[in-house]
Amino acid sequence: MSCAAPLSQESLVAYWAHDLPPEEVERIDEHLMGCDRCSAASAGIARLVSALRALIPPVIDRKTAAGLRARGLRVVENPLLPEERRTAYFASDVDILLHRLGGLDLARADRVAVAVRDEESGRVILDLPQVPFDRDATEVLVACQRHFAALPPNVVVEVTVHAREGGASRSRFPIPHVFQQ
Amino acid sequence: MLEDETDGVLVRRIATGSGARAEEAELCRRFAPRARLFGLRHLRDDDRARDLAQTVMLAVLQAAREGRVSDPERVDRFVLGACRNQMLRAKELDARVQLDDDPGRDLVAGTEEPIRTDALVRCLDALDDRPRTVVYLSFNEGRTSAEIAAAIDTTPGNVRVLRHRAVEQLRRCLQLGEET
Repeated sequence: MSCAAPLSQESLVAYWAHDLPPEEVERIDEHLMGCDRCSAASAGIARLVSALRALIPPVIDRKTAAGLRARGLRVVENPLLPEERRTAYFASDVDILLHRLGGLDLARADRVAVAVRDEESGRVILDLPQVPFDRDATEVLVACQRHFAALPPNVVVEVTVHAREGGASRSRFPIPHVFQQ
Repeated sequence: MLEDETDGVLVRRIATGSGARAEEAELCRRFAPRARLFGLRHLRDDDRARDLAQTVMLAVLQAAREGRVSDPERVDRFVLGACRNQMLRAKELDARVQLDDDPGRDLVAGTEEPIRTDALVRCLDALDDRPRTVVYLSFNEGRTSAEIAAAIDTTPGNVRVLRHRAVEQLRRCLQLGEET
């Protein structure tokens, strides 16, 4: 397997991220079809990207939540208010524990950001500057998933609502988790 | 050894019409995975990508048998043309690609082991904050580098660098090599 001018990893990642102009996509399509080496490299990235795309987003809106239920996933709701510390039990027969983070004024929101921190260390586990939300609701939906058991169990979810007219308000939701086998 | 023959030799032998099954299998081994990748990239669905690859390889084999591949050494161009035609058909139909030949032989062999979600989440957690955010926004939410740059206050070029380094780190963490 040899290639006189291998495609760069950066180009291949951008190709799979659908982040290239059409003429560049055509050029890469042509190269990949005729090149064993770059095709193998592309397949490796594609496998990882497919796995990433299959992940359910950690923050979802009502429509997505309904879609997950329609797929047959077992979704259990967990309504919470800011600073209400209540242990969330992820039962063994549940696919998604849907944290409904309430008490939020979303009607005038321009965007909503969500950060998840490890409560003990303060380390940021996830930092999403713009998440989906339902403007007519007063809550943001966090889709806690079984594989999140790989993450620290005691987390604080910080929801920042950026208002259209400027200014922002932040709400904290400390959520200790217990994942039951 | 057939693996050592050029694409052109395989195509010419298939065109002799003497039932060159081994050559056909070798041609499929080389091009079916690439056609599936093309389908995966452009149709964003593995089932549809497999259908596309199956249909394309049937068309390529038929053309090779009938001596319709005008430049056998560049059969890759013929395959790509067939992929593009089939992709357009699939998008127009916006439905599963209909097979119009006997799909009795599976020309798109091999299914790689899926990546374990818990391992992937662990490896995502090991990334620094910004690259992890870039990975989520790129692949989970489908945003472009320009959109991500605006969201995290950096440049599109920096997003592309963060993204490809993060992908490389994830592949190392998951111990993924290149596919064969």
